[in-house]
Amino acid sequence: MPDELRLLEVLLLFNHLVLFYLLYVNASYAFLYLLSMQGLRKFRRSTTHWSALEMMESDYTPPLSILVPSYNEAMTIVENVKALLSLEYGEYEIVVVNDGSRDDTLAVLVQAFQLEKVTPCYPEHLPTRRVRGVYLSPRFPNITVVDKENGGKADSLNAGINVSRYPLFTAIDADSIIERSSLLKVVRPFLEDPKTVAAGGIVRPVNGSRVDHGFIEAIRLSGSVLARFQTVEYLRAFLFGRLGWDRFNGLLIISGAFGVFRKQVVTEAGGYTADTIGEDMELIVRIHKLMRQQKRRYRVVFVPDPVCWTQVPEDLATLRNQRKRWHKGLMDTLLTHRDMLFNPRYGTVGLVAMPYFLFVELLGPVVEILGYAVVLLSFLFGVLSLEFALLFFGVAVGFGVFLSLGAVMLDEYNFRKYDRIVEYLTLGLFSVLENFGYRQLTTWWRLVAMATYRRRQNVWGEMKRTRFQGQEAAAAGRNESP
Amino acid sequence: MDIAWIRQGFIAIALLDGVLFLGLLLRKGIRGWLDRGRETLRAAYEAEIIQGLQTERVLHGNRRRSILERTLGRGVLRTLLLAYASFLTGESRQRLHAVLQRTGLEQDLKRQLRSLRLHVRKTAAYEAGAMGLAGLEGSLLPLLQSRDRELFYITAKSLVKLTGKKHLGFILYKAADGALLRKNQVLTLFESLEEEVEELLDKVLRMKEQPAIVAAALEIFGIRQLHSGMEWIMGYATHPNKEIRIAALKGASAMGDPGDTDYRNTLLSLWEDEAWEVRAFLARYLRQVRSKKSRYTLAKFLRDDHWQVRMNAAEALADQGEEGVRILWNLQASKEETVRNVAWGVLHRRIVTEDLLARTEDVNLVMKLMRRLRTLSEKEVTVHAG
Repeated sequence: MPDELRLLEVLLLFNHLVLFYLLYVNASYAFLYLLSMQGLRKFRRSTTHWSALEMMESDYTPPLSILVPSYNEAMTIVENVKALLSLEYGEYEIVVVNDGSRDDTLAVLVQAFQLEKVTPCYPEHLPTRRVRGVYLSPRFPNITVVDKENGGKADSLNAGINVSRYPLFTAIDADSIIERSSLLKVVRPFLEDPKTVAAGGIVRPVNGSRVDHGFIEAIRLSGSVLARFQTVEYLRAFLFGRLGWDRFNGLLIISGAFGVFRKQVVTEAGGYTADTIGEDMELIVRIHKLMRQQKRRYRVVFVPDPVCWTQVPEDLATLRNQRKRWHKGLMDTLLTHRDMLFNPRYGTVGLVAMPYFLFVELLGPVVEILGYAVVLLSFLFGVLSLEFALLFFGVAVGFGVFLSLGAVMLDEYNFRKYDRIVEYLTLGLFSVLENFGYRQLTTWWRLVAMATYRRRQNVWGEMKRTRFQGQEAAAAGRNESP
Repeated sequence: MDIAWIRQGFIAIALLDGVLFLGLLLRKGIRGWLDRGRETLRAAYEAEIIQGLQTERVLHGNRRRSILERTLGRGVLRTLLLAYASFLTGESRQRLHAVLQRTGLEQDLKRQLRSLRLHVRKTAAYEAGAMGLAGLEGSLLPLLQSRDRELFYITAKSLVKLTGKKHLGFILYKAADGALLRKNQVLTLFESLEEEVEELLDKVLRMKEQPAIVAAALEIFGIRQLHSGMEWIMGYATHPNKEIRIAALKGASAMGDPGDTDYRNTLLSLWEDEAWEVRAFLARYLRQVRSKKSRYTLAKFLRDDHWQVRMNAAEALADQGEEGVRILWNLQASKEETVRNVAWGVLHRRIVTEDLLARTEDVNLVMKLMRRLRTLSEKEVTVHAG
C-alpha cells in the first residue's frame, strides 16, 4: 500500500475518532446540563420552605470552625478576620494558620486581636510541619491563631483541622470573600441529611465588584477581557458541571476556596495531601474512596447558592500558571487514584465520574489539539473539504456556545447576581468569543502542563492579585481552581 | 458524513444559540421591568402595612389597581407579610392576620395545602407556620399522614408554632411509628415551645421506643432542667444503644444537678464504657459533681486512650474550682507526658482566656502557677507581640 494511502486511512480513522469523542463529550455535557436544570429546580423549591434566621438562632445548628490558611497576608489578614467575625452563623470559631509567613502576618494578628501564646493542647490527628505556637485572645474567644513552619496550603489546613474544636470545618482562602449568609446555606445539607460529609458552594470572580471591609457592596462584571472569559467559565463549571455531578453523588471536587467538611471523615481519610498540587480535588476523591471501601452511606453535595467571591487573574502569565497548576492537580489526583478508574467497587465515581474526568477533562486538550492538526492535514490531503471542516468546527463551537449561554441563562433564572441587562449581554457575547482564541490558548496551556508534568511536584505559581475596588487588597497570594 | 446533514446541524445549533441569546436578553429585560414594578408595589404596600398595623386601615381600600398590581400584587404582598410575620408579636401580629384574611392570602394557603404538588404543600405548610395562621390548623393536620419526611417535619414545625404542644404528642407518636424524625428535628420542635413539657416527655418515653425520640427526650429533660427526668436519665444510662447512653449523659450534664448517690453512681458506672464518646460525655457531666470520687474518676480519665476523653476530663477538673485546679497542677509531676501536657494545656488556656489566676484564692497555688508561667521563656511567649 502506498504511504500516502496509508496516511489517508489514518487521517480518516482519526477523523472518526474525533467525531466519536466529540459526540461522547457533548452527550456528557448535555446530560449534565439536564441534571443541573433538574437540580436547580429542586434547589429553588427547597428555598421556599427554609428560614436562614431560624437556622441561625437554633441551638441545634452544628458549630463550625473556619480555617484560614495564610501566607504573607499581613496587608489584608486583619480586615479579613474582622469580616469573618461578622458572618451570619450561630456558633463558630476562626482558626487562622500562619504558614511561616516571611512578613508580619503573625505580628499584625497578635496586635489587632490582643493574642497571647498558650501551651498547645490538641490532638495531632494529622501530621504537619512543626507548630511554633498557638495564640488565643481573651477578648475574642472564637479566634485561634496557629503559627507553624512553612509547609504549604495543605499542611496549613491539616494544622487547622488538628486545632479546630468543632465537628464541621470550612476552609476559606484569606483573599476570598464569602457572602454573609453563605455559611448557613452551605451547612444546611449537613442538617437535612446526616449522610452529608462535604458540601461546596459556588465560586465567582469578584473582579470589578465593589468591596467594603471584606464584604461585597455592589456586584459588577469586570472590565477585563480575561476576567469576563473566566466569569463565563466559572458559571459553566459550577452551574452545570458540579450541580450535574451532585445529582448522582459523583462530585469529584469541592473548591478549596469554599467548602464545608465533616472533620471526622476528613481525619479518617488522612486530611489534605501536602505533596499534591490539587489538594482540594484529591481530598474529595480520597473521601469517596474511603466511604465506598467501607461501604458507608454518604453524600458529597454542591449547593448552588452560597457564594464565595475570588479574584481571578487578569494577566496571561498568571492565568497560564493557574491553568497549568489545575491541570497538573487533576493529573496528580487521577494518577494517585487510578485504581478507582472503571472499578465497579467505587460505583458511579469509579465507573462514570472518574472516566469522564480522564477522557474529557484530562485528555481533552490532547484530542482537541490533535483534532485541529488532523483537520488541517485532512484538508490539505483532500480528505475533508474546507466547507466540511468549517461546518464541523462551527457545530462544535455552536454547541460550546449553547452550553455557556445555558449556564448564563441558569444563573439569570435562579440567582440574578448581575442587575444590568448589559452585563448579561456582555456575558452572552463572551460565551461566543471565548471559542476564538481564549479556548485554544487555555487548551494549549493544559497540554503543556501534561507534557511538563512530574509527580509530587508541588509548586505554587505566583498569583498576582489586583486590588478590590474600594479596599486595599493583597498584592500576592494564592488562588484555587473553580 | 454527509455535508448536508452537518450543514443542517450547524444551522440548527446556530438558531438555537440565537434563540437562547435573545431569550436571555428578553427575559432579563422583562424581569428587570417586573422587578421595578415589584419594588414600587413593595414600597407602597410596606407603607400601607405599617400604617394599617397602627391604625387598622384596610389594605388596598377601594382604590383602583393597575394591571401590574393585579398581576404581581399578591406575590409581593405575600413575600412582604412573610418577612414581617417573623418580627411581629402580640397585637401587631393579630392585625397582620386580619390583613391576610382581608386580602385572601389565607384562603390561597388553604388551597395550596391541598395541592397535589408536594413542593406546593411544603411551601404552604411552612408559610402557614411562619405567618402564624392558627386558622389553618385543620388544613395542616392531614399533612401529618404523609410519608414524606420533609413535609412531615415542616408540618410538625408549623403546627407546634401555631398550637404549641397541642399536637406534639400525636406528632411524636406518628414519628416514632414511622421513624419520620431525626433527633435534631425533635429537639428543634421542642426548641420553639415555651410551655411545660414534663408530662408530654413522660408520655413520649412510655410510647414505642424509637431511639431518636428517646434520645431527644432525655436531652430535653436536661436542657429544660426538669428534675423529674432524672429517673428516666438513670434508667436509660445503661441502655445498649450508644446514642441513648450519650443522650442520657448530655441530659445529665445540662440538668445542672449532680443528683443523689444512686443517680451519680449509675452514671459513674459508665466510666469503663467501651465507647469513647460515652466516656467523654461522662467527663463532661462530672464537671458539676464536686466529690472526691468524681475528681478521682476525672484524674483517671486523663490517662484515657482517647484524647477527647482526656481533654474533657481536664476541662471538667478546671471547672471544679481550686480542688480541680490543684489536681491538674499536681499532675505536672506525672510520668506520662500526655497527662502533663493536657493538664497544663488546659490550665494555661484558662489563665489566658478566663483569668484563672485572679479567681484562685489559694496563694500557694497561684505562686506555683506563676512560677511555671515564668519558666516559659519570655521570648517564647511574647516574641510575636509586635
